Amino acid sequence: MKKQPLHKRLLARLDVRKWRTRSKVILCIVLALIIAVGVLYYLMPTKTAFMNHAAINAPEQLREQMAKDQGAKRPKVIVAYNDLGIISQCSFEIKGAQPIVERYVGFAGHVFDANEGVGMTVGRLVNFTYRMLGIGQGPLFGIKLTLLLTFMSVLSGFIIAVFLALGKISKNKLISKICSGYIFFFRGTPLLIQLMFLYFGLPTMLNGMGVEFAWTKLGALFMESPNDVYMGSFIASYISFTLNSAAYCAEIVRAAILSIDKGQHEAAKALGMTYGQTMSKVIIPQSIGRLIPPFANEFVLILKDASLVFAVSLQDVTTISSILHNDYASSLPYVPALAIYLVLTWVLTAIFNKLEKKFSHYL
Amino acid sequence: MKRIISILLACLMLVSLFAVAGCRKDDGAATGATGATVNSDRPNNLAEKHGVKTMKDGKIVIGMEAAYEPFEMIAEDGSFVGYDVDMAYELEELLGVEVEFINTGFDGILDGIDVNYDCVISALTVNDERKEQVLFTDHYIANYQAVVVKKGADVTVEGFEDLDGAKISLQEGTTSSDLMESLIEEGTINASVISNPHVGTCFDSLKNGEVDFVVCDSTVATARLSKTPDDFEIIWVDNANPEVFAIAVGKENTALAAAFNEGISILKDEGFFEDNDARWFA
Repeated sequence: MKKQPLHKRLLARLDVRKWRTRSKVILCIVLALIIAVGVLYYLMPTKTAFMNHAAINAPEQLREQMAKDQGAKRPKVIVAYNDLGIISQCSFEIKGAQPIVERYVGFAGHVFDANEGVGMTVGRLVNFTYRMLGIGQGPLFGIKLTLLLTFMSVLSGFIIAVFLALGKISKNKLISKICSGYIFFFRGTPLLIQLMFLYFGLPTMLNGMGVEFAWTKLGALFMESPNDVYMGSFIASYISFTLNSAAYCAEIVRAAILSIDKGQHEAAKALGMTYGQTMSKVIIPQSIGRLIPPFANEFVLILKDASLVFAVSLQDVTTISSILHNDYASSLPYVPALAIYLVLTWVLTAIFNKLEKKFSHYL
Repeated sequence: MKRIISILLACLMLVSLFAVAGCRKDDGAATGATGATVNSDRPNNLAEKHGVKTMKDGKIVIGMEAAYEPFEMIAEDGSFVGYDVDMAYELEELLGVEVEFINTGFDGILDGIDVNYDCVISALTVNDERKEQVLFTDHYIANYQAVVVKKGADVTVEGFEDLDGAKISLQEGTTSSDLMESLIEEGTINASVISNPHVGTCFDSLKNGEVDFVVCDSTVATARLSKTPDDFEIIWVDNANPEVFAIAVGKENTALAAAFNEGISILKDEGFFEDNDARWFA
């Protein structure tokens, strides 16, 4: 049967008349949600609205200090406006031995006090989520860092892993030993130590040998000061995460290749295929379906391991939540952190389930 | 069917992502003229005078663990605030070089000097071990070791010997941690130590009843107690042994140390530290 072109198939799928009732109900719910989000986003109080509200309602002391701050180089009142699209929080704070804090939460066109009770909890959740998502910060902060590091390192790790796996099962003794040694080392040592050694140890060693090297200088190629420090840390993390995940993925790939029945090799040989042809045309395509579930597992593991970058001054979701825990003497920050991770792994698992279905018809 | 649901959910997520991405950070920080009264004799080029060379031209990069109230912490808008930060900004004016902060872990913070940052201002206590590794400036504050217990705890502490047989929570890499570990090694006391990366987590495990004591800097203990007065009390302060805080710079970086020293002495004369004490410890 001839397959129809992709755009025609997609169009056919978008034809609502052919959908079942339940799908239509779900479509309605989703559309309603989108509209609700749109309306709430439109109604959100602006920062100016918060400022005006504070100018009337804030404590006397705070207003006095804000007036004094006008034109000062470093204002004593720290104003933070966090905005999650549909709900926002604005806080006015004088830090010090006797801190004065005034918080408001904005929702559906209204400004609510958030100094205690439900308002405070909601306000804090907004603030914590905002900080963990790294909004308004550079790309190497919060969720952006976690995602960037995970995707980049697992994908490039996987490419290395294919070669490592083929090397390990190769008949050439030397190549096999080298690859086994690599896997042995990187699976046998903790990722955190590998990272710290690469980041702190390598520059020291290179400088000792008379080679000028600093991760910051490498980072400066991509980012301006002061972000080059974070970029340098990121490059070091990327390299060590790639090397580590290559070792784990190599074992996954090797297991998948070895799981293909020996008869396949024999059949390919009987057809007169070379080793390279057998691998690329017969064995590896079949192994992909078996490789995806453990590969998804590795992805999720690296996603969570990304928190190890705290050791090199980077802040991912976990690190930010622990800093917030420390700052606020409250374990509330872990709630949005859990939610964020859950959503991320949920999306990832869904993607990999799709991929698994797609590739499993080779089996 | 399932596919349609997942497509729709993906659409929803995309929309919410845009809603989030559409947010922006308002730069509320006003940059105007200095409001404070400025002494016309006040130098503003100490860096030039001492021939300071930094890793980045025209910038001094400062490493700190910004989770140590009240010395350094991150405000709700993501900026650095605290006792040390206020001092750093004063030094910025005196030295005439812009300062930049890098937030890093306290464990191994000294290893980052001349690698990631020029100096460390992070409530750093001067001790002999650290002196071998880095160069310290003159001190800017004195501090004592404090023992903190849960409010209403039925114990008496009149010295570190009284911590014998207890469970103690300490922050990794701090002088409190070094001190307690050496006391345990010497056999003076027999205690179990629980190390935490941040000082706040130490207090949380005390609150939850995981440990009996927290040993930390007296200044930090005071600040924490002002925040949560119902949870903790300081039971004993080791007044006999003051510790001093100073800025750490790289071993060879004498020029920067000299510039900082002159800056600190000017700030001492101006009475800046009394003002800062009043703001952060009153």
